[in-house]
Amino acid sequence: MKRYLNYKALKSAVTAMAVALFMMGASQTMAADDVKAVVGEPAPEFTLVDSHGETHSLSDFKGKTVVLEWTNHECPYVQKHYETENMQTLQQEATADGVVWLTVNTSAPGMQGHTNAEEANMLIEKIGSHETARLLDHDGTVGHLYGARTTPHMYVINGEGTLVYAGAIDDNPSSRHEDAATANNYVRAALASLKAGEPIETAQTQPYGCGVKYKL
Amino acid sequence: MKRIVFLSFVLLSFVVFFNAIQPAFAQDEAEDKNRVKISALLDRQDVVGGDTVFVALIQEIEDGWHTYWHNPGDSGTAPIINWTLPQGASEGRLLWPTPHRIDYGALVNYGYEKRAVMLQEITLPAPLPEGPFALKAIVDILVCEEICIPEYHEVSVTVNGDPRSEEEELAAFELVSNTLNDMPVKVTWDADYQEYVEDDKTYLQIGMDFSAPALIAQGQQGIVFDVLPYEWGIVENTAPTRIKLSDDKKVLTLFRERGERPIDKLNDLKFLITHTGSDGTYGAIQIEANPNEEWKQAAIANASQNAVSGDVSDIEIPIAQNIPDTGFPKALIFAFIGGLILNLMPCVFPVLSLKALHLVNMSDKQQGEARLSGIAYTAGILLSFLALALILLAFKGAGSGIGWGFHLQNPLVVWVLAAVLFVFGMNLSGFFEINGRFSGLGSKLAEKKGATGSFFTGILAAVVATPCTAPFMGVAIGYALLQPAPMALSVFMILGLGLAMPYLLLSFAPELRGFMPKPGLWMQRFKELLAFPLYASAAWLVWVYSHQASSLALLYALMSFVGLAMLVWVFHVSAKPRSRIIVVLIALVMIGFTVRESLHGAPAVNSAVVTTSAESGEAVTAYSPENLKQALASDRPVFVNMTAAWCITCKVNEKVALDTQATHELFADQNVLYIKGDWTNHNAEIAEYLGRYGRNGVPIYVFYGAPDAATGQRPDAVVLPQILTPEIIKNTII
Repeated sequence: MKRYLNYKALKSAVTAMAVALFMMGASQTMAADDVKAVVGEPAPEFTLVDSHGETHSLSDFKGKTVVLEWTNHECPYVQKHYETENMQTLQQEATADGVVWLTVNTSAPGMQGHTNAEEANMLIEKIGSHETARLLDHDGTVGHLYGARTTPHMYVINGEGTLVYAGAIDDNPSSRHEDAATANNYVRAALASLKAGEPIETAQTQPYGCGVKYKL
Repeated sequence: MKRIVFLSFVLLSFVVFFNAIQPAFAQDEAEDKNRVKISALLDRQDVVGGDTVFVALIQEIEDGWHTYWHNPGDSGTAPIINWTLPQGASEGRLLWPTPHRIDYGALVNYGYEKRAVMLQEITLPAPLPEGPFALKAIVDILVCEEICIPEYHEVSVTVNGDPRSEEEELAAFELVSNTLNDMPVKVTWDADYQEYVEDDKTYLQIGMDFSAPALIAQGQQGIVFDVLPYEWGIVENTAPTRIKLSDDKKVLTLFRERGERPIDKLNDLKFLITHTGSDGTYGAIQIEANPNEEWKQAAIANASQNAVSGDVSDIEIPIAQNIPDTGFPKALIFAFIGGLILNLMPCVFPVLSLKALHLVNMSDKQQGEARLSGIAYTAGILLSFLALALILLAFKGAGSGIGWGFHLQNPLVVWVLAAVLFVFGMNLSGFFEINGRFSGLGSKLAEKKGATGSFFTGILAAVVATPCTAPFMGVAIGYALLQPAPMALSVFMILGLGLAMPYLLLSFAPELRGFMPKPGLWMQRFKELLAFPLYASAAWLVWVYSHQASSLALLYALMSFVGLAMLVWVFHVSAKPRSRIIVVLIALVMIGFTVRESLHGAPAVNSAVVTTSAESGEAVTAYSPENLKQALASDRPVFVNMTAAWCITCKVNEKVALDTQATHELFADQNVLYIKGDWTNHNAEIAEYLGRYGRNGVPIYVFYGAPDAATGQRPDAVVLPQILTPEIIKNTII
């Protein structure tokens, strides 16, 4: 009986192929995970622990408008909006209206604006912030998920979970404190439009401020 | 004592802690020390009323810190300059020097380090006022290293002031003229932009008529180009720029991943194209690009359609009415027939024939062995299909857009297949034979070996069969993957059974073998003949591979075949371990290089399938969901062809029916927009499109008729058969 095939070689080739298939499979699974926040599309789901140790997921707030504010209390642009009470006023208006306001601190340990839970709580008290919760994102996962680049960088998510605004807090990128009062506040406008059931006029703007201090 | 130490430690940590918190809201902590010095200099003193002068704004930036360009990139902000000018004077252009990319891990900025000189054009009042007067500016500038500090500067220059010395005058002139020389060069070359989708990513593609290729002509090698838009959100700031230079070096195409902002009103966009020479010279060209006309038309149509429907993202892609409603029994029948047909494919046929020849050699008394071999072969095929089905279902469950034939989307797998077919071909050509080696080992072991062999032949048959998605199979597999797992698996099993059936029949029915010619020399010749379809299949797989990997990888792949041939040769002629080891090492090195290159050697710009057609003079739009939506928003009929380099059925259809003169003319006459998707590599968007029509593999041909003039509604889409003729296309379109 003749045998024409080198079965051993065939066997190793098949094994190599199986290995290749699995390597390819792994790379494809990774690609599938590459979700990003896009205005007009569902806001990516996330789960973070706040400064009181409580866990919040975006989906917990289904049916409510959610504002995400990236913050770094040592950034001069954040200071511009807090020292003028501009941010606190807006937070108060919004939360009084039933809006969930989440500030996010993405500054990595050792970087500017990093606060642990205790420091964060002291800070909230000190500046009289009216946020719903302060989320700690020190490994930058949610920052990268939303493409947060500056402090402040603002996001508004409607009750259906759609990202409806992303960008700057207002239309004046100046660092001068006096400009906060006269600028046209995009977040306030977006929240008003949502409340009135009207389309949001400016849904995407260029954020301005300090870079988010991601873990390097 | 211990307690005191502990208490002071606690106290100390409190002090440190509060000190850390304290500067948080301290006013202008760094006001005492500016990180950037700004001075202003008038280009010349000898002026008359109505003259336009330049005022140089010179930033001296502390080491490690940077300031920002017009488009600051991911963070930061451009300087804000407010001029206070005398009555009658006016501000002209503000010229920004070429910025650098400044990389901060996850963020990329565009700006300046160390020193930057901006030029402000100012037209003086006419007539000039009496006596000295100032041109004053307040500059709000953000300067950052890791942290950012806003600074406020006031600068001014005096016109009609005390005269400057000749040296001062010369120095001012030189500064301004050198700065002008280093400014981005504004060119008026034809340039257009459009969006381009590849591998799920949208790129900004800028085509530039490179009519003065001075940089190339100067013989500078290794110039690195980069595209920096003047506006935010146009490109992904962290993404690199890829380029493609046409063969005649006249058209430079640049690609950079798109940013998050929709391009407003599709207006002209201003870009800097920076170039870094191998010698470190750095400069930039400033171009204005208009939207590519064809792309713009489709985009506008899309936008107006959206305005009508009031919805931003959803144009419904018409669903075809003629998708056969595949029931479960029907799917099983299709699967079985499809499996049978697979046996005739050029890569599978030699495997089957070989097995058949093997049976001819068996006498009736070896019937038991023949049956065992048939069962083993079937088991090999079924197990491979089971494995494939499970992998497919697992990915499907994970939401990954892969489908039938997906293993050929990986260059490494393609190369392994080509190598297996090549070695197998050499075996059939008689370059080596593994016979007699085991003849002394007794019949029992030989029998077992025979069964194992048949099992692996079955696996080989299943694996090489998959690229040829035969007719019926697309439907069957598409159906299968939409079903619950048990039904999906049974469709796959029946498909495998169809593939295994001819050999299984032969092995179980000696009567059938009686129809085959008697053994003889013809078998040897026929076996040698069968090597050629294998070589052809290998050659075709190498061509597929060339679309998936770099040209270097292609060279390694071909070299690895030389290595394999040497391997076969040395084992044939020499039994010396040393010479064998040397050749094995050579072959291993070539194979190692191939594997390495296969894993990361994707070509920079690959859309081979689309380009080839474009060369033949046919207007083809590359498939992306956006492109299709735009096309459907227009009033033209649309023809969609989803293809892949590894899909033989696709290639045959293109050759016979699609890429023919008649069809080109037909498309032109009927104003058909031809959209082609290339599934050679993994592409979730195409997989999703296939799923829409109940398919999980290519080819698929879908025709969307022109919208009705009265209602604006398109008729239902028509899915064409998987085997095309020019007549079928013609009858569908007209």
